[in-house]
Amino acid sequence: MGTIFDNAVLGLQVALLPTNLMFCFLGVFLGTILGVIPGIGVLVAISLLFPITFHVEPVAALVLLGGIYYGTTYGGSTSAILLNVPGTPSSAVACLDGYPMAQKGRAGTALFMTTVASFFGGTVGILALMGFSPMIAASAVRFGSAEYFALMVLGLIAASSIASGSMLKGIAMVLIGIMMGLVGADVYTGTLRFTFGHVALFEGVSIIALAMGIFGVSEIIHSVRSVKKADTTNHDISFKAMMPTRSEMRASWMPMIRGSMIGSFFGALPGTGGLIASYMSYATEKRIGKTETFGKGAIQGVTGPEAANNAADQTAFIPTLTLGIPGSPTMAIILGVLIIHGIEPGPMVVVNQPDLFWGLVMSFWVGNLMLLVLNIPMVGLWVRLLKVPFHLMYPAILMFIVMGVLTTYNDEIQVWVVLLTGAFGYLLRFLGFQAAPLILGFVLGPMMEEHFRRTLLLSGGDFTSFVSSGISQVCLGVSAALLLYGLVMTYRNRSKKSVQGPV
Amino acid sequence: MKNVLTRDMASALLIFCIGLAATLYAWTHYKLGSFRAPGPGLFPVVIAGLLTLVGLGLTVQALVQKVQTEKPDFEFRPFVVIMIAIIAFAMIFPVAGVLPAVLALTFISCFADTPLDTKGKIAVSCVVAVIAVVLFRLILGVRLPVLTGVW
Repeated sequence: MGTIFDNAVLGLQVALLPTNLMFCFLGVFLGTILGVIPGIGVLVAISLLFPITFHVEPVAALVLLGGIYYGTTYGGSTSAILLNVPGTPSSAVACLDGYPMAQKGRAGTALFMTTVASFFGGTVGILALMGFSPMIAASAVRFGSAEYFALMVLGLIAASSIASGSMLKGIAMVLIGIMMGLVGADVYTGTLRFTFGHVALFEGVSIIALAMGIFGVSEIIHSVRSVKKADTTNHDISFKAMMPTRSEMRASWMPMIRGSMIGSFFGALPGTGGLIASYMSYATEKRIGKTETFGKGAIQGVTGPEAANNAADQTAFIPTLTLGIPGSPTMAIILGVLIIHGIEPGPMVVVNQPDLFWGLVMSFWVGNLMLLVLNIPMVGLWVRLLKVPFHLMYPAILMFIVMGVLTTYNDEIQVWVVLLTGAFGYLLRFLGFQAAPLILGFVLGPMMEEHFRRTLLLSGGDFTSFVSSGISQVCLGVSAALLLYGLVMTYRNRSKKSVQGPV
Repeated sequence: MKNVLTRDMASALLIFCIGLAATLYAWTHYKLGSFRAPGPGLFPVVIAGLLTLVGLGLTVQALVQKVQTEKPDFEFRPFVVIMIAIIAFAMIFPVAGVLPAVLALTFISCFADTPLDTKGKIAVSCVVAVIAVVLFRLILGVRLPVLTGVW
């Protein structure tokens, strides 16, 4: 591995190939469209557009997925600001001050500053990704099965503790996800588990069908009657109206810098991600800011969280690409997609396939740049898209879900899987469970089992081997603390009404 | 607390039952092995066992908590309609191909909740079906029968 500069040049050479540029654009464009539509989050967007990646080579596929990922995040903020409906959960914070800004007739400025903050946060996140990934990949040789296991436990506990509502419900989702991940042939013995004799399940539940059912179908059922209430009044989105005032610019710098730092940190931690990062940033700005305008259209409340959100989106790739451990449900899907494409993420990718790794990293940056130049002139288009009534949109979304699954697996059995997971997903949603931890458990489950069994095999059944190294002690210690904290908080809040966020 | 079977209690019982059923099933069907040489059943039993415990915890939580969590109503009509639409697709596709299957899927799904009249429903279905064929067959070149026996 050369210096960061050499790597950046190598990456740029890959990222600036015309085909990769085109796929980057396509991803950002499609991602933004889907992100703008309320009810479609990153998970659904990636699952929906995933079939397209089959027709291109792995690097281009990754570039496309990356573009969809942060394009969706960006699009989500657009509908949050204009409609007060977060297009994706992580943009829920953008509603707090973005929507009041829009009501005051400053929608154009809010959207413009969102774009700038996204780009800034994304750039900081990418720098963190470039700086830390080789280090982590190099130290990954010290990671044995016990350490991987401990890290995964930490990720899953963290993911279930940030889910809104009861922590126990989050853990239940993680465990059900792990169980679903175990369906199919056992790697060591070939024993078929939980297939109940269905041939379609021999290779396990397919991740795309699961994600489409549990997020896509259940989201449509939930949104059909509720989304149409949103109405868009005419916003002034001319270029002139977009320009922030001098004082708004000055007020935005520090929140953006702080937000990027917060985002980079939380994005890299397993189990946390854009949502928690943007909330942390909002809380920080609120504490620092002297103005009383928070919640009434403070620009700091838009730019800080937005920068945090996008920085976190980038650094979330650190554990995913260097260790092969996805830190968020979205990363879990991306990891699943990579495995389908024949890439096993881990320290070896950074070392053995530098063109893939660095090409991807630099294309993230190119993609962020594209978001900047694409979205400022296109804001008008997104506003118009928001005016299309949902009853014309959801039949098309449903078609994409079903056709996407069908063409991904070329097997109509998977449509039935979508049906079942969709029904199950809606039931869970109705009962107040969140589906996101489930997906994380689903992807991590088989890996956890492998490391669990390997640790026991190597140590001859000695359970102390799980806590024999510093890394695993820290991970498991933090997990235990989080668990305890979460349970105590649930106990304390049990008389309060829990707030139910979107999935 | 008037009602014993609240939504929280129902979710607790659901988790408990799934956990217990999976524990027993894995225990009786797969080799557990030993900690020295874990078999295919060990990890599932551990996970399902934990799930059962979480189910118990949720039950206790549902019993002691005073205020019920408020959640949206069950969207019965969209639920049934969307399910039927997907079933229709899954049954029509193997026999007749993509085009009729998508037409059925979208037309039925329009009944979930829509201010559209029949003409509007047909129009939406046709547009979506055309998008499906153009995108998947013509642009992505997926080899699926558009209309079985014809294209």
